[in-house]
Amino acid sequence: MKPLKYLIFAFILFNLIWINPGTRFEIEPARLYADDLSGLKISGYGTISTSFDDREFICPARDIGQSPDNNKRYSKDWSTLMDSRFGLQAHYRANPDLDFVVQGVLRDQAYVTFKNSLESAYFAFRPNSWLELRGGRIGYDAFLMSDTRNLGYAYSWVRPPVEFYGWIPIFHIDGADTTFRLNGEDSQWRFRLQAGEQGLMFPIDKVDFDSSTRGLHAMTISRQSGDILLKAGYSKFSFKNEFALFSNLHSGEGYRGLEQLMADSTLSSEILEEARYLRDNLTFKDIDITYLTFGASYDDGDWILQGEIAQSTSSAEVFSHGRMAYAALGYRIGDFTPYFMFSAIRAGNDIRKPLADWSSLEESWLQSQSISIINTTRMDQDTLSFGVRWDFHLQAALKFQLDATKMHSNGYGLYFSKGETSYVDSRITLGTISMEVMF
Amino acid sequence: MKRYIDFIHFIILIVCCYMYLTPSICLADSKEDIKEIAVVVNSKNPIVSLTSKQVSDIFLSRRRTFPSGGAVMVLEQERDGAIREKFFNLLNGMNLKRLNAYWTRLQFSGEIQPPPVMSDSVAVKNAVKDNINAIGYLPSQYVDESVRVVLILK
Repeated sequence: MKPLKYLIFAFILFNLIWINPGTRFEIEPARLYADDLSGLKISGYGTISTSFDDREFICPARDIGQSPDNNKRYSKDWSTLMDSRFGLQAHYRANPDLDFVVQGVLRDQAYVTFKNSLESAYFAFRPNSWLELRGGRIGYDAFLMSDTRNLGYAYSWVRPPVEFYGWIPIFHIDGADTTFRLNGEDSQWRFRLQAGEQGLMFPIDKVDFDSSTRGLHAMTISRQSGDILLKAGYSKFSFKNEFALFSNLHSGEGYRGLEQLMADSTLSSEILEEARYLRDNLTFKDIDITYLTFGASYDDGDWILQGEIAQSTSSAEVFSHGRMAYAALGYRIGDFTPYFMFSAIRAGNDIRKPLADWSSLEESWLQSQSISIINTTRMDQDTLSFGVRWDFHLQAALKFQLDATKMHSNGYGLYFSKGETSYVDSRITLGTISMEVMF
Repeated sequence: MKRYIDFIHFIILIVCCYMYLTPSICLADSKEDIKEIAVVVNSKNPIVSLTSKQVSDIFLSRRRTFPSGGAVMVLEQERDGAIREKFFNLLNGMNLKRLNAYWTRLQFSGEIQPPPVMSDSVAVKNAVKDNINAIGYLPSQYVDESVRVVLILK
């Protein structure tokens, strides 16, 4: 479903519910006194950022939607592209129970299109005090911060930890969600179910991949009690399409691909078994991907603590998956909030090595290339970050952050690297200065 | 892509210049004028009193019903107003900068949109008087028999 259709859908719904006299809600008397009880609000947020690093041939990215090599970032040791962004939101409050929201974000992506830049376009309807229904393009709410990744002003650090959030390929859901809210004695519970799809195009090693999903859904449960927020989530999806690079390896033109080798009964059982294994694990189409996560945050006005742990599984090794976690601690001193954060990810699959001897085959390169690709997408790295946030204005903050990252060999899935770099351990230091505003 | 980023920088610089030239705190109500703040509900609301924590949860949109189960309609004062700063400071110790960051997360993630902002304390009182679900706050000197006080913050 294209974004334009959402707008048309939202517009029609708005007309049906609000404009049409037959279905129009009663105007409550309070509106006679205050215009602001309904109406249009324009608001926004933005970040100006500059990052610099100390390594050649290694290039950081904020998330998987970026493509640093398109911007020749390898050859530069600084960039204003990675974290800079500008978001604008229009919110129309039809009545206390019905909202329409459209939000667009201009940020560095491999392809900056209207579809990619439309962050949300939905209606939210609350038939009663414990239920909310939303439809359209909505934020992906599987993790503690997955629907607030762009909102730099909302968190203390420069960006959500890359090890945790940088490689999640879902940015929003084109679909619907239902939220139930319950009040406990001194706590509030929230249950949310989301379902829909996402269709974004982004390049992997300069080859485009249409990441349209099938069966995307997420379930979260959260509990807020005073300063403490706990949240657990589960999400699952699969991809509709195959990655073109993999298709060429599955079924070659002018050479035998993995599928042709699997059908050749003259080959040894070891080669057949490995060819089948590589075929089954070198695919994006129809594989099942899951995220299971638990997060907690605490903010008493002085201390800020936040952490999350998660496990991701994939039914094909080539899709990045594993266990990841981070913990952050900050302390407010007036308008300054110094903080540190540690985040780590470990690949869910071991480094793959050849199992059979393919040297007698013309297609022996298929084995090494397939194994190389599977190992290239592994993620195995740690980052220790120090920084400080300075709230110099009611609606603006300045941040400085230093990240020291260690990437383990065959674990560079999160950093872009050139040549043979990814076969050895590396360290990179990344410094970032950014200014966040909201209005 | 670079031209988009240049555009982002330009827009944000304009916003920053605007902020720099705009006073941080509204001078309409000076803090010295505000001795007490009353949290008020409609006189037909069955709620007689609320605790500070209950009011804090309501105004931070963590709780969306009154303890009686009735729906809540929160009415806010100007975002950078002295009355709002004093209210949250007395209620839960949050300053406006922290409050803005908190609401940025809720607002732009789609969790909930900020409550309607009333033009002044008289508008708050009138809206509470006319809406059974409404809750608002205002300096005590604005209170009369048309609304019910459920919490006083000093």
